[in-house]
Amino acid sequence: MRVAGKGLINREKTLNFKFDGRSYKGFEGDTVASALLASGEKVFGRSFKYHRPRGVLTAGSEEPNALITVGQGAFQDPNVRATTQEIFEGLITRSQNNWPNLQYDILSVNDLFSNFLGAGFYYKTFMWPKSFWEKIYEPFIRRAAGLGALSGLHNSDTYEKAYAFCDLLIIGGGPSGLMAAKIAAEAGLDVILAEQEPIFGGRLNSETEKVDGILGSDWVAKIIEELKELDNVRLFLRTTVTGVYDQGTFAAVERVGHHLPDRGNDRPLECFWRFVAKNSILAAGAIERAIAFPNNDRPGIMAASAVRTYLNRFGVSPGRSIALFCNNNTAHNTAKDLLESGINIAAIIDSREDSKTDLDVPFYNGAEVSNTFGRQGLNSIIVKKNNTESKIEVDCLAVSGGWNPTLHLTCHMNGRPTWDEKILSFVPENGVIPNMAVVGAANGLMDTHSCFASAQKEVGLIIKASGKTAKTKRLPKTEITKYEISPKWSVDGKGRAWLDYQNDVTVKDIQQSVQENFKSVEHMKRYTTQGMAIDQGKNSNVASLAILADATGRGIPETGTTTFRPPFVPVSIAAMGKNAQGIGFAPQRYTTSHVASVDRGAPMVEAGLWYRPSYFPEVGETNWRQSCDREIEMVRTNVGVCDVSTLGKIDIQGPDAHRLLDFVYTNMFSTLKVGKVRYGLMLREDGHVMDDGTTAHLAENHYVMTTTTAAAGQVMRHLDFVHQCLHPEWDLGFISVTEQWAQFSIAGPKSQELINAVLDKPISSETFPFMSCASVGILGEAGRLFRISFSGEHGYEIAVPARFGESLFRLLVSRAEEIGGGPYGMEALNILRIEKGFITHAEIHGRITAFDLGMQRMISEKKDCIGKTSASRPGLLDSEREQLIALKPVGSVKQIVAGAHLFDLNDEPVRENDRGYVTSVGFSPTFGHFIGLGFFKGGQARLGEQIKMVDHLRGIETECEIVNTVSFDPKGDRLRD
Amino acid sequence: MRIPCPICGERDRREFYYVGDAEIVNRPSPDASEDLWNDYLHNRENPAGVTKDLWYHESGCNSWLIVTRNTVTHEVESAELTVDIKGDLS
Amino acid sequence: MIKLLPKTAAAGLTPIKISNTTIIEIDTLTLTSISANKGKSEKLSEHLKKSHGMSLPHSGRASGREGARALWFGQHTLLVGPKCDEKLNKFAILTDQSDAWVILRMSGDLIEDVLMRLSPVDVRLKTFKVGSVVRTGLLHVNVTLHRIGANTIDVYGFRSMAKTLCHELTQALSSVAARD
Repeated sequence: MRVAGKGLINREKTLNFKFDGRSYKGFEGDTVASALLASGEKVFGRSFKYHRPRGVLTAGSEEPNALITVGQGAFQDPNVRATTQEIFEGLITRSQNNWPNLQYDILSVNDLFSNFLGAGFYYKTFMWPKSFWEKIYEPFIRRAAGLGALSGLHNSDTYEKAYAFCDLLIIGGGPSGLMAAKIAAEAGLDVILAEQEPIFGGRLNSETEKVDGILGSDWVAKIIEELKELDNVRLFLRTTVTGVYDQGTFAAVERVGHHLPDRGNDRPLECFWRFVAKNSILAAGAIERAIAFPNNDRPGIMAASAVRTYLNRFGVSPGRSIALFCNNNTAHNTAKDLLESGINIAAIIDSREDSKTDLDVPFYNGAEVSNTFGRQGLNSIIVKKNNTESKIEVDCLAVSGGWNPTLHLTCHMNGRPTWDEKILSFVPENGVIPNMAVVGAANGLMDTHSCFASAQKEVGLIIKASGKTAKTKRLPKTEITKYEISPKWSVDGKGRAWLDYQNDVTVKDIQQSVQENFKSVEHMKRYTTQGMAIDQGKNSNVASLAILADATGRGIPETGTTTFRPPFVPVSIAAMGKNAQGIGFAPQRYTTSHVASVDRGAPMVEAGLWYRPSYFPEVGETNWRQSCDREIEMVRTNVGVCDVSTLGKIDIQGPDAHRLLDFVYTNMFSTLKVGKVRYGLMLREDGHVMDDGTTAHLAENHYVMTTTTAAAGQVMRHLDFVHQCLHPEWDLGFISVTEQWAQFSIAGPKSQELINAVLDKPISSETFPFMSCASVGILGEAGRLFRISFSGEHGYEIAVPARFGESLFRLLVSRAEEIGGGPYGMEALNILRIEKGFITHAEIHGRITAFDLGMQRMISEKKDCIGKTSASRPGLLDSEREQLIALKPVGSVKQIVAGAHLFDLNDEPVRENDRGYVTSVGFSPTFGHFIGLGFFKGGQARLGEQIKMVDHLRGIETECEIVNTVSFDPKGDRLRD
Repeated sequence: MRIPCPICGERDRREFYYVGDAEIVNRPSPDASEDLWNDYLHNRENPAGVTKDLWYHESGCNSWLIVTRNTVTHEVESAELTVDIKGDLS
Repeated sequence: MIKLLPKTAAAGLTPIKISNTTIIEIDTLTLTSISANKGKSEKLSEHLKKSHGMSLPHSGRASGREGARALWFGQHTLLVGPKCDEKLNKFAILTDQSDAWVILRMSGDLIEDVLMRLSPVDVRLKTFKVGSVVRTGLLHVNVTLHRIGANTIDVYGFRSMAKTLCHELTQALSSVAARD
């Protein structure tokens, strides 16, 4: 119910929202949890395993019970904490893990069988028979377990990823963080302050404590106004720092759109930040923990600090008659604040023998709550003192078992927290994250003055180290109360005492884990699933360790903690995966002829990042094979034009340029004359082939190397490696000119006729023989011409600056068409080269050598080169290695399939008999049958023999003959013509 | 992870290409023993502590760097240009 | 006589305008990569100044002014604007790169917010000052960023990736413009 005169909500603005189909009202500033509590709702969800009705336990991101699904359809977002979801007009939410509904959930029958369903139940029960697992057990468990579900629809929300840099990142905008931010910002540091709530202030918004004589939340507002005036501090609300990484890198998720009714299409839902900070301050506060007493999970039983938050920040009382059960003095504020607001306090039960209260309420010191009643909502508790039990009627029980510093981020780089006997909790290990200071409650300081003082001290050290001077000297006045606590972890008695609410782990489960010898904290966690839910043990860890320590007879420090890992709160995959779906997954590279190719109806296929035309369909052609066969015939009899700009082009200049070429290529380049082109083979240092291509000697000390499309980046990196790491003394320079030049292959008997149509000065076979190169004028523009061939035909490659690429392509194609030629695509290009036995990266797949390709004679005897020594190892020259072969079908089955395996004709086609595989295939219209390239053990000695190809996947078996790898024009007369 | 490129300053590791042990810059002579070549090609120390490895500032200045870092503490101690170590590229 | 028709790298992709921030293509410049010969940096710098009015830039900087600038470009220097004096080849390797790069000029209040979402470098004016050059990634594309003015940054990217660059910049721009 609402409490008049309390809270930071805007009562002027009423908002309507839905929960499980029913309409509710709340105020601006409410969360779903506060608004539902204000409306008197108790049950928010069902527990994971036993489907117990559960209410809200906390008021923060650590909430284990009140998990809801927000939104509908594609926008549906499961497992949202009702305690963090701000309400807005029209918000639609619903409960999870129940059927048919929240009040009557069929699977709550599990609760009756809980004696059988304890820790380890699944491990023990669903083991046998093994064959049941996939068909019966797993589907059953998957249906029964689990919380919210994804929509199954494409996520159409917008997300962002971003980077921000600063001198100082402050994590947490509570009293410690605000004080640190103020001092640092005034001293001139570049500050980022990240707060996960929608408002700054932390606990000051939840308490009635005064700072500098005014209400804490008013003091917060004043500080924020001051900070907003400064341009060297950036304030991030709704931003949770989720992980700490090396060299001052932090991950954070900013919830940009979850609180807005209409985001539009462009406003992101979340932004995943990478903060890079020279220094950081962790001021994340502390999280209150519960006490494990019998039936402590009923709706209406909440953290005492959460009750204060609902009262002081949201103006909501979670009950009409409230009791308090605690082991420390901070919790007494809950009773005090409620009383001042006129709420009935039925009892204070403090487990400490010597505790006192000034409040005029029934007070039980040295007592405990030994049981509770009320299935759909708490109605009474049993208080036990000196073996006397009394029943008290309440609808809410506020519980405090003390505070755990929020030190999770300090563990992300292997930090191990240490046990502090004074506050009965773990505190962060000092200096475990480089350049991070931990201040305030996160460091175990549980009063506001100590928080301010520690912030001042730590930020002062950072300011000094940055060579700046702190201006703020005075700390605000606070009401100093010393934190007093005595151990109280659990209460014995009939009934289950919950530790991990979301995963339904009880005190008994942990004791059973110890009985079954899962005694180490890491084993206990995995056996019981304690700490493995969405809250990652934030509520239950320390209490569970205390129970474990007790059951094993070890102390808590010896028991230790499990490891906290990122993320601190759940981060949606969609936010982390921004830029990794749809367009933007990878850059798209377009050639200058792209539009012209698409205009002609060419389907574009991906070649690495590039898009290249597959084939150019003509009227009447109904499938790609028709187009491809026509294009091959066109090139073989006439002339074809193909964009080859995607090949890597590296301009190499300088007096030592030839040394580089001799060193990276197996064959000799220093003998290459100006105006000539040579084919080169490049090895890796381990003797395997890296890449191949041609290099042209354009002018004195000036070469242009071409690489395959696939390896362009790798070769550039390789050249940089050779130059910078192995031979920095060489005087040369090189630069990629792939983007500068648009280059087209012109191939076929009529290629010279076509090329002369665009050259300023015509060439002839005499003036420009095979393997020539020159700078030429192309319709008045400076271009380059190479007489090389990847098709086996008389051919050229012609290059112009990329701005003229489209124009030249269109012109070449139209001129070609006038003489019976035209454009050809990748399919035709591929068959043309297979007919000639030219290799691509289908063959250069990383495991083959020059020897395997029959190119060992290309490794020059006269010089050293990368890979030469390794390539001479006996194992790489073994005659039984898989060697390049070409295949043609000779039996009744005519198909050759890429990826199929090769066997001797009479061998059974099983793995043990495998002798090789097919790498490239296609139907050759020139020969009228399929041809293929592949590798076969000892293949080069088997020319003319019959073997068999088996594609086990498709069930194809083809008898093949090993033929000369150069099927077409083996002497090469056509390309030299 | 961030690497202090001597030319560009401290940069995010996304800008770099990782190779492995910096040993690879010490290429043996062609007539060195088989054992030496075998070590160069295949054998690497795997220290718990300080290690030197080779990175390429691919999205930055295209420099090859030798980065000294600690595999236990994750500290990056330094990054040097290979040209400064091997020769005098100007 | 038939003439080849030029087409710019970002033809049909620009201008882009969202909120008060615009992206236009700069397409009228000659770009020459200059790489000093061994031991010739100082001589090159002198002659660059004679020929084009600016010395060689330091790492991470540009020298010269609009219309004739020299940008630090990693292993090279990029002369942006004038046709490069051929005589400089006595001291350096010169390579025409006029058609290799698309240059997108981004102006407006949101340029920093946009680049923060795409590049892992600090692009705020106080750290990335006017005249600064940084080579980095823009999502998956390698780029060079050059701060021209308080509200203007030039983005140099591969010509073949002009469409991807425009797409990424537009998407980030729409996204930041849709915030409050």
